[in-house]
Amino acid sequence: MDYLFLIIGSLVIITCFYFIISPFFSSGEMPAGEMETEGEKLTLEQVYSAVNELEMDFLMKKITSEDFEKLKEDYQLLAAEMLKDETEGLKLGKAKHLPEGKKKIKDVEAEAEILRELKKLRQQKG
Amino acid sequence: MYLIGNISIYLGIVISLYGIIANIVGIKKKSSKWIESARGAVLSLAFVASIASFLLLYLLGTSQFQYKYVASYTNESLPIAYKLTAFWAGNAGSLLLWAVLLALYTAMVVFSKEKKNPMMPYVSSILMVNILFFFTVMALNANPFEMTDKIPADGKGLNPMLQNPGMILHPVTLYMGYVGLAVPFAFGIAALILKRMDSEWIKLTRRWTLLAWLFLTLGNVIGGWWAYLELGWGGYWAWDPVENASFLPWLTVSAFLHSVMIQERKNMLKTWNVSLIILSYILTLFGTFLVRSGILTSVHAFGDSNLGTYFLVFMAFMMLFSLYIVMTRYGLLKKDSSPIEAYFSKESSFLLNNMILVAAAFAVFWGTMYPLISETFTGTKVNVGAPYFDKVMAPILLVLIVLMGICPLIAWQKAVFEKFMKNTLWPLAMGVATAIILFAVGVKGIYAIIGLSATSFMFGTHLQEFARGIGARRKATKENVLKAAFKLTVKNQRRYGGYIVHIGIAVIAVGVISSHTYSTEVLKTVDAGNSIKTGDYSLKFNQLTEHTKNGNGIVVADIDVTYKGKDIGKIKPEKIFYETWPEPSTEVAIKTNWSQDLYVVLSSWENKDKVTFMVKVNPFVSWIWMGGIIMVIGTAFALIGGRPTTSRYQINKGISRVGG
Repeated sequence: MDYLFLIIGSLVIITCFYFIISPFFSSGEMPAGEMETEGEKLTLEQVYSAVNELEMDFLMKKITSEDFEKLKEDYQLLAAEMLKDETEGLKLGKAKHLPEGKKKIKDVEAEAEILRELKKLRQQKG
Repeated sequence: MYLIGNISIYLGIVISLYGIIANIVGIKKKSSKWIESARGAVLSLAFVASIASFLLLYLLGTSQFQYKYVASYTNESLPIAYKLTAFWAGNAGSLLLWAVLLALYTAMVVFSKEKKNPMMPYVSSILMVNILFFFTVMALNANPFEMTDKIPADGKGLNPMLQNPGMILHPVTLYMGYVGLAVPFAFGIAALILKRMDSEWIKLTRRWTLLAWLFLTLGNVIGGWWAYLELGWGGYWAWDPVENASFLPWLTVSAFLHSVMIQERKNMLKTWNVSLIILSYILTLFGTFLVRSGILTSVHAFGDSNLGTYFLVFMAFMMLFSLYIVMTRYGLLKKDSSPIEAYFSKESSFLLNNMILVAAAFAVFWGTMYPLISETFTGTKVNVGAPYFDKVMAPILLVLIVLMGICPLIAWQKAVFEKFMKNTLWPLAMGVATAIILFAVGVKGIYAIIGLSATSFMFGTHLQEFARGIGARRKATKENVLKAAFKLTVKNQRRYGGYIVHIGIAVIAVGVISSHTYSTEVLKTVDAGNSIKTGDYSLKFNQLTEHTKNGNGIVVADIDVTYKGKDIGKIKPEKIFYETWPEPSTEVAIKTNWSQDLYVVLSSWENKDKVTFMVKVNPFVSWIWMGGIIMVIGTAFALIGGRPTTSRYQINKGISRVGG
């Protein structure tokens, strides 16, 4: 019986040792300084959640209609700007080589896309 | 088994020490391999702590009296459920429970999806310092696997007061709350060490904090329920030092849960938040110190050991360490924090609520420690007792209830005083109507009426918030009432979960105020066949009988009860004489309806035909337990679906960038 407990005790020690030592034998080392973090990045979803909350506060008569309109406009401007940045970021490479007339058409297309995206996001938020 | 148990405990010490060192080396060398190895150490700690725990459960369940701990807290005739719950009946087992919970929590944190977060090595190190402490104390002072010199034929058995379903839940839930607070504390300190002054640590630990608060709430409510059933004095909260010790972190975490919203949205109160979480964590150690040291008289204290000294030293170390970190980062915290801009705003109202919660915590702390303070300065131990707590805490809690009624009415964004006043009208009318109705039906006690009216006002605010929210949603979406109500709450789980918690507090407040003010008590000796009358109840004592169960002698009184002249059945209060315990235990008999409890205790007897009973009628006590359940449901609702609050601070920064 004592031998059994001795074996189990040894197994416990070996298992712990394995957990601790195994990372040193795995391939590749990622410098600890480059580890990922989500950080405090502002997302479109956050802006839309703010607009929704604002709308609820207005409908629940907690804020005035002037404040509501002004803040809503600010938020929508911010959302549009963020979408525009996103779209331009993607198309920057291609658009650089386009003539002036075609660039304008592309801008209009981008605006329309932003509006579509905004509408879709609002519907998703419910 | 002795070998495996001890290997687990000593391995716990070695591995946690190694884990801390591996993290330090990993941080210094910027080596992910060392940090991975430290993570392996955390996994090993969870492994050895689990092995030690299962082993202790096995030893307790199979009555292995060669182990001191098993012999001290169980005996052969003890039901299996209580044999197993004896795990946390004594010091050594409680320390092991703390260690295993902490190790499991640490493993969940370091293997979460945030495992690559740069804060993680610091977080795991701080948590491993805690684990190291618990394993060390077990090895040095309270080893659950210590053997007896001579194997006894039977164990000493479990304290009869601990043989209650409350024993299964109350200690575990409280420990889960205590241990859970170590996680946000570790993240807060890690963020400060790394000089990350944003609210990332708060977002990452929101669920942990809420979970810890949920368990603290559960622990306190179950503790009150257990005391009500088991202690036989008719109350549920006695302001006992150890009860206070678990109430203190509950108060400070309640404050923290509110103030973090201000940091998330407005980038304010950074120093305050980090101080609150440090304070809450230190208070969990303080609570354990009170229980273990026996420095204050309490029904809970495990005062037969010198474990208090270990806790005092560790608490002092963690406090000084935290203070040092906060002081060295104070400038950064201040620099990065936005000031409060308006007196009439959501953030001001939250700050006020925080001040009051912290003042409440201080009042409880002062009353709890006063016997020690008075002894230090005057040489005489003066106990302040329940009258002090009732006198000080009643107005504080009243203000809190009023604030709970006011805060939800203030908008997060542009708060307007006139709008707020308009929104207050209906809840205020509800509060005033409550006062008038209570006066009209002849209810006495001005303070109780004020308290109940304030509670009604607070409840009215929340009803109105739900009703207006549903109305607003219907206006925007044209949904039917049920769908709008469902979608409103599901899409704002954090906010409406919080509101449900507030409603639970309102229900508890009704129970506490009513039972405290309008409870009646009769202590009467009656002969067989005679009755005791109290309120609308009449109790006819029939006979006293005696029988034996599981080797324990049980004396039972048989009583017929009528309520307003109508027969509502029998009740049978008992006294149990345990074979292994010198004092008999009181088993209270309770008849509950929605508005009151009939609470009967078999006090004493001259002979089997002449018996003394204590009969209490406690109004609305069941509302306290119901309120507790509502609070737990609300917290769970906020916990499951609530997302971190949108950082309005960042949005405002964004708006100023785009020139809005």
